[in-house]
Formats: sequence, structure tokens, C-alpha cells
Amino acid sequence: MDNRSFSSLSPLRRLTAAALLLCLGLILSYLERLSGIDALLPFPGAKIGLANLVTLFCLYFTDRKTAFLVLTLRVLLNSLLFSGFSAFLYGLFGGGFALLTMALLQKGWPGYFSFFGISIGGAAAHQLGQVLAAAILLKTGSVFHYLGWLWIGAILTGGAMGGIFSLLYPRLQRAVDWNK
Amino acid sequence: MKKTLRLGDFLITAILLFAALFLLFSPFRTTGEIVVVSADGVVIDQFPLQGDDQDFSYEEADFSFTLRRENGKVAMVQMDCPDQSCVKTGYISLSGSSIICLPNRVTVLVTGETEVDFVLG
Repeated sequence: MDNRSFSSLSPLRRLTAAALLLCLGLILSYLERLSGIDALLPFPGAKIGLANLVTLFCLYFTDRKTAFLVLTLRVLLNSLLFSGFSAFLYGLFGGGFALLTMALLQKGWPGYFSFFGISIGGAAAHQLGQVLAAAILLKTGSVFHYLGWLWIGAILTGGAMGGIFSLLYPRLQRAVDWNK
Repeated sequence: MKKTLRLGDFLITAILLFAALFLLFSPFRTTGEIVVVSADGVVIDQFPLQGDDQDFSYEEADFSFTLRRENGKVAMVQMDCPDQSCVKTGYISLSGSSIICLPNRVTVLVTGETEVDFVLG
């Protein structure tokens, strides 16, 4: 199954799939926070971004509309369940930038990027979005120099996520059958 | 299929790396002169980076925090927030460096200007 045939499924199947992916993304995000793994990274405020695996999955196994829907709802629910408005803004900017960049890299230059590049691009865009949100909330441009550290981290965490997804991909291709 | 590294991957990594190094190292050529403390986008204090070793404590509506100036550097030594990444940032002294507490919206910026009046947006 690939993402071309996803669009031809019934709306109910697509909705159910989206709901499942939404939950998966929320759980991954929660687990990441719960495990405290982010504290291991040397850069304050850096994240591994496990939930981006779901976004990657959406981009390769569903259609872009679903990817966008799952991302937006995940960010919304995440902030409603776990924190406040500023978390929503960060999540929206970060996740939104990440999704747009990953979709762009995936479709714009097919063949030039592997999962690693797309994942790194997504991580870097995610951080750019969050720094932008911080600049707006804090009303200062001084936050931008954190991007230096964050982007070095993006190369590492994006690469790690890309690696995880590339390991999962062949198994997902065999296991995912939307017609079940 | 998409497991091997490709040209775009290297390009994007190189671009990010260069951009990151530029962001980190180009404004940092001088030791800063003034420390600007802001809460919620509003400057609440400014003090010179040079001076006697001293603690600066601030009380805001929901939280309090303390900065320490020592040896021409400044660090956040105490902040009421669960995250504590601002405290983990440690000492800064170079112009353009900052310590930031996101949940409490506090920024501590080191600048080379003798008079600060910055606005963004």
C-alpha cells in the first residue's frame, strides 16, 4: 500500500486511520516527556521529536490532507491536555513548519532526499518555528542565537528519527494494509 | 529504498551546519557590556557586566529568580520553574548571548550597547 491508494479509501476508513494516528502521536509525545529522555541532550529545550515519526508515516502511507489533519489535531490536543496556550503556539509553529518542510522535501525533489534528510529538515524547521514562536511571545530577537545550538541538535535528532523510520519502513510496507 | 544517504541529505546537513556555526559564532566577537533583564517582553532591569560580584534578585507576580554576576559573567542561579534549563545554561558573557526562561517568559541578554532600546515586532 502506498499513499496514492489511501485517498481512494472510504472516508470512514480514512477518518479511523487518522484518529488512530492522532492517538499514536499523542502517546509518543507523552512518552517522550515522561521518559525524560530530552534532559539527556546537551542543549536546553531540545527534543528528540518522537511524534514526528507519526508525521513521517502520514507523509508516506497516507495523503497530505491526513498528515495535516493529524498534525494540527495532535498539537491542539497536546496543548489542551498537557499545558496552555503558549504550548499550543509552540506546537503549532513547530509542527506546522516541520510538516510543510517535510512535505516540500518529499515532493519537491524526489530522489534527492532519503528519510534522513527529510527528517533532519523537519527537525530544523520545527525548531525554527518554535524559536519564531518564542520571539513573538517573548518579544525579543535574542532567541534566534539558540537556533545555532538547536540546529546542530536537529542534525543529530533528525538523523536519529530518520534512521528509526528507515528501519521501520520495510516492515511497515509489509504490515500496513489499509483495506483490512 | 530510501535508506541510503543521498545528495540532498548532505546538502541540507551542510547548510544547517554552516548556518548554525554562523549564528553561534559571528555576533560573539566581543565581551558584552550591559546585562538586560526582561520579563514578558518588558525590560525590568539593566546592569553593567563589569562590577563587583553580586546577586540580583527579582520578584515577579508568580515567581522569583536570582542572577549572579561574577568575574565579568552572569548566570541564572535560581528560577521558579520546573524546567530549569535557564539555570543549566550557566555563565554567559559574550555580546549577544542570552539566558531564557520560556515558561516564565524571562530573558537575560548581554549586549554591547551602552544604551538599550530594542523592539522586535
